[in-house]
Amino acid sequence: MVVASHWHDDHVRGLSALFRIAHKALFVCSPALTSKDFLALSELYANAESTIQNGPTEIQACLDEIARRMSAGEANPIRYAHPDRTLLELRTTRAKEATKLLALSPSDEMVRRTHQYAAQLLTALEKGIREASLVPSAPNDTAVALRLDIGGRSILLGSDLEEHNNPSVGWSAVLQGMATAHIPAQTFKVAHHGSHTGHHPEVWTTMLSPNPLSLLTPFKLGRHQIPNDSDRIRILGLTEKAYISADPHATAKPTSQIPRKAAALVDSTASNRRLAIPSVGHIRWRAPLSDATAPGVVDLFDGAMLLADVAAKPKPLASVPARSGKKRP
Amino acid sequence: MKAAIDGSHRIVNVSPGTYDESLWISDSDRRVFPDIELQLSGFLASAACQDYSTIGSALAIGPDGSAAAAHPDNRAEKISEELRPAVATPVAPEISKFEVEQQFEGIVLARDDEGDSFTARLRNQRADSPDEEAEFTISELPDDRHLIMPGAMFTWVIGLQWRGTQSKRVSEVRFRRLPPFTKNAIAEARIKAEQRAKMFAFDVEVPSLIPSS
Repeated sequence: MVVASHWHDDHVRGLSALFRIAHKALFVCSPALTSKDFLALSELYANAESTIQNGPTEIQACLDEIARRMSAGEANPIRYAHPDRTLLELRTTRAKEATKLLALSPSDEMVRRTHQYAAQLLTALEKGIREASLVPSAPNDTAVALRLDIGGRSILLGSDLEEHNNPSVGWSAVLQGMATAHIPAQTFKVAHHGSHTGHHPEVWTTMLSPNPLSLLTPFKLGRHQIPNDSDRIRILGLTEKAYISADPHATAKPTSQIPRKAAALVDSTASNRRLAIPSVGHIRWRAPLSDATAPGVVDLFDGAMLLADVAAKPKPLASVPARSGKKRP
Repeated sequence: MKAAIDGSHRIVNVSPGTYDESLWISDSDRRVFPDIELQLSGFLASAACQDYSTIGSALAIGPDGSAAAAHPDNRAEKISEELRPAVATPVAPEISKFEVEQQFEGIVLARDDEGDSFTARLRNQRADSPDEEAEFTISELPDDRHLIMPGAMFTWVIGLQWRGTQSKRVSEVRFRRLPPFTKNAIAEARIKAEQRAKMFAFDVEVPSLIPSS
């Protein structure tokens, strides 16, 4: 099963390549992403004249693959995410309980908002008003948050689900509509890169066990960077076991080979040049399915680190660290 | 030695190795100043070197461009003094050639008006290398300021620009003026979207997957 948590590049980059290889996989996404208006927008922007992705290119490529498979006579592999919908249930003879993947979002209101966003944008295009591209600053109303129940454990995957103090959307909607009985999750992929916009205090008190293993990925857009200092302090006040896949301060020098004569002008025109994706770290957590109380082992690779270490030693212009495989109890 | 000719055809300082459009004399100027044309043409026709210091030497103008430093053979200063009221503004020759040395495609990620800057994602068009991000100063792009918004696409070219026999290295950021999507393009996208929406209208019920072992 391949899940498009939403269509922003930082979450789905490479998804279409993965989906093409996983040729028997189901494809999960928000139902809003296959609405007529969103499909039309996707078609227009995905084919826009740019080599840099500027819209839902990955989603469009996945839908192209799905259309190809269906045209070849295969069954529709799409599975839409709705609150409290079981996306996958896997029973084995050894495990006492089924492994279950449950969608928590998007709520009906989030889907309606995405329909509205797409319809308004398409109407504007028809009036000759062209947005330069569909940019990631658009609302995260297509975010698919998930809960995985496996071996007596529960893992909460927060996607970019946000919280706006509105019971119809975001985490408030999840908390309001949570009909399915659940055990508190011991592990949390922290929502929206640890930003305060993805934080709801009740998620930590009702959906998570105390001091949960918490995993984050950093995000940068221009000078905007999350998690920021206050995000880190907030998360570290909620758990001692927080890890981040890369130092949010870290940057890496670009590797472009610029002709020597042009280099001075490049440097005088543009400042603070750095690699767009400096490091994709890796946090690996392994725990036995046979013992739900065993904490398991966390391994850190390629620059992943304890969140507590970020504030202690920010690393400007650090090169990408070598694969370390450092173990953490 | 530094030399060039300004709008009134005085000799002014120009750093060696740089290019100054005011060095050039238009056709109308040549009619007014045949001597200058003669001298420059003669020099340019015979000189093996296009270094400004050599031009300066040919005109025998001092480093400060003063008349006192001028060689008696230099006619530029004297003629321009005599005929100043009739002087037309020199016009640079057309760009005859542009040699691209480096080119990026860019897309604006964020604009920071307070900091007079924007951040962009860059893709090297001359080499296969990972995408970069960088910051640009908005006030250095006066013509395109209104186009700088998240998602806006631009081309950034660094290269040698030739006007006649003179060249200078330039860096130019050009924002793309994207035309609106045509009605046909939108209609086609809508038709395709409708077909796909029908195809994807009903999702699948997933049965429990029960492995054999």
